[in-house]
Amino acid sequence: MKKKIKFTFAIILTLILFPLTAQKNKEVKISEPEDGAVVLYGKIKIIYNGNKYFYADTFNLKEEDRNESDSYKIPVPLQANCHRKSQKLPDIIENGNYFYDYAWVVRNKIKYNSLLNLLLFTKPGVTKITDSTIIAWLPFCFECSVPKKEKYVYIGTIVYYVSGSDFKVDRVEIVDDYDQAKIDFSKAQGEDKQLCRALLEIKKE
Amino acid sequence: MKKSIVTVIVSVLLLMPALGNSPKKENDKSLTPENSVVFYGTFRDNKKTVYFQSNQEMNVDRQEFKGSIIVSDPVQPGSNYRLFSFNGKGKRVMKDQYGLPQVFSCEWEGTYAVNYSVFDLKIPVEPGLYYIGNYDGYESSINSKYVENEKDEYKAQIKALKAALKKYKGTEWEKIISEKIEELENEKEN
Repeated sequence: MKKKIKFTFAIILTLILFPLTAQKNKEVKISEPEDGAVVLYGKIKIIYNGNKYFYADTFNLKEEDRNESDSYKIPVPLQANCHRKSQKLPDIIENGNYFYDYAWVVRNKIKYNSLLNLLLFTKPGVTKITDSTIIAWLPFCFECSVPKKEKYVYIGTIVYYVSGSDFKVDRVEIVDDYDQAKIDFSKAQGEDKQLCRALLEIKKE
Repeated sequence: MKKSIVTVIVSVLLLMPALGNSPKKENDKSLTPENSVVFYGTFRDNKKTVYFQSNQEMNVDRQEFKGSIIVSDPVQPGSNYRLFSFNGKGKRVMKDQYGLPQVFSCEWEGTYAVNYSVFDLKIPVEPGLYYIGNYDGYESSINSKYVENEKDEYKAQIKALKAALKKYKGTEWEKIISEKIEELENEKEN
């Protein structure tokens, strides 16, 4: 009898724990950045007009996974990230949603010269990329000037218009949604944290 | 107690999402040397190589190869096969810090974005049997041809063709493959 109870308990525990581990990031509370660093706040939205279900067919995606939305992995700034040891921010975000990231400011600037990973059919709660993730790489080369003494920086809504089998980037727009972002940021992080505007610009080399 | 632990482990494994699956394809008799392409070659020391058809205007397809020999199913002429992932293990002669040749054990693994052409195979528009080459599976030179000498090249090509012959036994491809082997043997004798 005891064995039976233990067994049922173990099964129930497993069933409860699995969905919990799958989606553990909802709204993050960010801690204050170190001196010389800032918290970046922005949105990335990738509008793909190609046939993404082509890849679902190619890689035999399960029926339930075909309805998943897409996500993106936050690009890494040129200056190394300064994630505090105590706080690891989620880096896989649902397409079109806000992200937070820590970055060092070097000579008043934040620079990106990296890749943006578009993760097709990937749940926003996923914490890492695996071999079975369907990824498209997009260039991410921007920079912005950060006003002195600011700690929380809005870098804009970065909208990518992408097409075709090769995910050709037709156009990139930096949309200024500062007023809305300020409201959303205060709601999520509290009134005491002041968000400043420093929109990204396409990098001039 | 032991039984319940085993059952829990099994139930956990069943709950985990399956990571992709690879259906076993039968030879499609309607795809003949008149209307499709079969490509063959080798990737030295590769354990697994996965290619997928990347042009959205063409057929959806994926070709998976186990081991170093590549023999494709019949594919659509004019399509584009893009390397998606590969892994392998082998020994390579490389220079050490003193510039002297040494034998190193290497292991390699790579998975690429669907829009990144690290190694594309542009399938010819003309149907038939095509040799893609004898490549080094090692990551740094994945798309550079590996030819130590002509003898090795010949051996590798014959090995891949023999595997193709086995795969396509009893189909229209068999004759073409046998002819190719014969042609190579004659070339070698001359």
